[in-house]
Amino acid sequence: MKHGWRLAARNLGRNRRRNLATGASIALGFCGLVLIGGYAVRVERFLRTNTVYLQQVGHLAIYRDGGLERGVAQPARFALSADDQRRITSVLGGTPEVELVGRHLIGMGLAGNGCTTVPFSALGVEPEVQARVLAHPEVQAASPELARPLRGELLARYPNVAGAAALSAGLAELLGKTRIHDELAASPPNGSAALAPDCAVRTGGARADVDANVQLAALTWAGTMSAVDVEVVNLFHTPLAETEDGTLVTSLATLQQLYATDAVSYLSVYLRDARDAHRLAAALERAIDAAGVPVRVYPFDDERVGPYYAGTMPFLTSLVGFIGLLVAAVVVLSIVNAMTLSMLERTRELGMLRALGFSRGQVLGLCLREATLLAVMAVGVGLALALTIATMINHSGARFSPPGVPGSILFLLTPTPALCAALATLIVPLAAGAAWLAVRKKTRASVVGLLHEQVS
Amino acid sequence: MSEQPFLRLDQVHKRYRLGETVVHALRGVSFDLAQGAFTAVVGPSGSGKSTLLHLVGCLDEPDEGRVLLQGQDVARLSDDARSRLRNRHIGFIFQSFNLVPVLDVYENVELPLLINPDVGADERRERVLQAVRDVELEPQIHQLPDKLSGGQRQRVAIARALVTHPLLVVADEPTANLDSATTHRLIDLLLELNDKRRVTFLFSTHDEKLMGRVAHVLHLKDGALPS
Ligand SMILES: Nc1ncnc2c1ncn2[C@@H]1O[C@H](COP(=O)(O)OP(=O)(O)O)[C@@H](O)[C@H]1O
Ligand SMILES: [Mg+2]
Repeated sequence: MKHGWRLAARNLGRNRRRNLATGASIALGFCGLVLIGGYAVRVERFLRTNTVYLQQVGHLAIYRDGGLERGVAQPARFALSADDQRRITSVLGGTPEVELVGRHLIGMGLAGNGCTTVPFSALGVEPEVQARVLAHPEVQAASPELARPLRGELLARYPNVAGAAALSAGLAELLGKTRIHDELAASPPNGSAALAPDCAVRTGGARADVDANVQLAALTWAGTMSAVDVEVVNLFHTPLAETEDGTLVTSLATLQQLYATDAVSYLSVYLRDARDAHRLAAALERAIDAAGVPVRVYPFDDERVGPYYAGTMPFLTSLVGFIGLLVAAVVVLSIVNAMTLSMLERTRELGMLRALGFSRGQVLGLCLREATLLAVMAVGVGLALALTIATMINHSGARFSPPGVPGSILFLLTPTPALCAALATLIVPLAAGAAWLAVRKKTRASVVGLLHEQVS
Repeated sequence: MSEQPFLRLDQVHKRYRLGETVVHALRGVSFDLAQGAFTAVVGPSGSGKSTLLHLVGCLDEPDEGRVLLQGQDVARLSDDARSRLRNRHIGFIFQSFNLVPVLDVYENVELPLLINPDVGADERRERVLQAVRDVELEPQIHQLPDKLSGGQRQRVAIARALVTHPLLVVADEPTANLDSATTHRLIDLLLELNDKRRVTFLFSTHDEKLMGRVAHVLHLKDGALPS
């Protein structure tokens, strides 16, 4: 009944001040929801990107069954052999949702600069895959600043540097390797100093930075001593503060040489759409098992492979949910309040409408239209306000440090159209429901009762 | 068919409960109205006039007895069916006009037709204009109620009651808020419409002076019609 909407619109004009106040509280509430939702979307995306791409867990991490738990202690037993890798990649090759696959080796050892040694934990990557992963549009959108090394370039840019490696900034500091390959090439230190690093000047090697060379020593998987030289080509912040003082990334080949193996610890699988992760995890696990490799496939939000994502999301969800509930309560209360008052003022008019033949449902419909219209207009205003504020904040270049992450990221609020639409389809019916609460008693009352109600 | 009166009240009782006390507002009222009758219910304040008109207008149900409109027992209808019956066949005029303040004269008159799907947009427009013409409010057709005098407002209410082409118009003290000159003009108008349209009118008043203008008067006293 289009006339119903017209009447509802007119009625909204009746007590302008009250309806403005109600509309404003809905608009502000909606604006708040959109902003907090935009923050949540941003943080979730950051966390996901961080886990999937920056930490190179992939949307799915494929380990030999038991490998995640015991792979470090018994690498030879729980790694994926070259033959395993072939079987797995052939299964993945037939899965169209898969965009990219990376192979990774994890290991530990001691890093030395000739004067001192520091324990490290290393991740071996395929440089070309790493470059593609870090240049992924998702990464560029969510946290481009974390995908770039602090200094230097990605491993893939140094195909001719033997044992090119990246150090976490903390590890580089401990080793005194604060000048990287490119910087030393640009301004080489004078000859004598380069030949004789002076370990005595300071523990940690004050003069260690005369070259970018680091020696890695470790036990091979067979249990013998082994060492390789690596060249520091970039420095980076680890996604987690705890790992900042001992993380090293180098090519898979270099690490395989150190541990004398052609096996890998796990495969990272990057999907075109993160939403496929759970479904595919189960399906791939079965398919790979059937291909003869007993594996476990972990989605990125599994706390065992993505503890940061899995640990932070419940907090984020409950925070946003709590604020959302508060806002919803404010919206409901203000609508109930406003509608109760205007129904009180218009009781006799409701009786008159009933006398003219409007049914209970039609009278209720008029009231709900009024609240719906008010809510729709308020949502429009709130949305405009939220988008304006978000744009201003996004352009201000403000930064913030997510908990447990070294360095800071851009403070962005990214309310997506889907988010805004979802919130609007939540809040408008909520407003109508609140109006229903306020007016249902009136619409149930007898016509005579309504007509005789004393109004001042 | 011909023996059946247009409206019949048969031993109608109505009681109101106010906490502990029960007000016996109508005590066995019976009467018939013929189609096209112009009838006044006269009685002092509190005698039960409004209660009676509400029952006649299908706004309420009797506690005892029956209200038969064209032979149909009104109490047997569902709330929605009664709403429809009011909308199609009964017009109301209230003492306090009860216009919608945010709608202009045209829109107020149009209101009852908006919920009648049998009346299309063109016919609706025709009828509204005719009803406004009948009460001589064409010059004010786009004014809001608060710009109108009391007499004009009541004429809007009359137009609104007649626009549905009802069988019966119920008016509860329609002149109580009007001065006597306006009152007489209004009664003239109602009589004229009754004559032209053969609409059955039942209106209440506590103004004994109006009795002379009406052929058929029901005297209500303490909720009963002493014969
Ligand atoms: N809704 C009601 N609740 C309680 N008592 C009522 C109600 N309506 C009317 N009455 C009582 O019923 C009696 C008849 O009232 P009413 O029909 O309004 O008379 P009138 O219209 O002639 O003044 C009065 O005593 C009045 O107080
Ligand atoms: Mg009365």
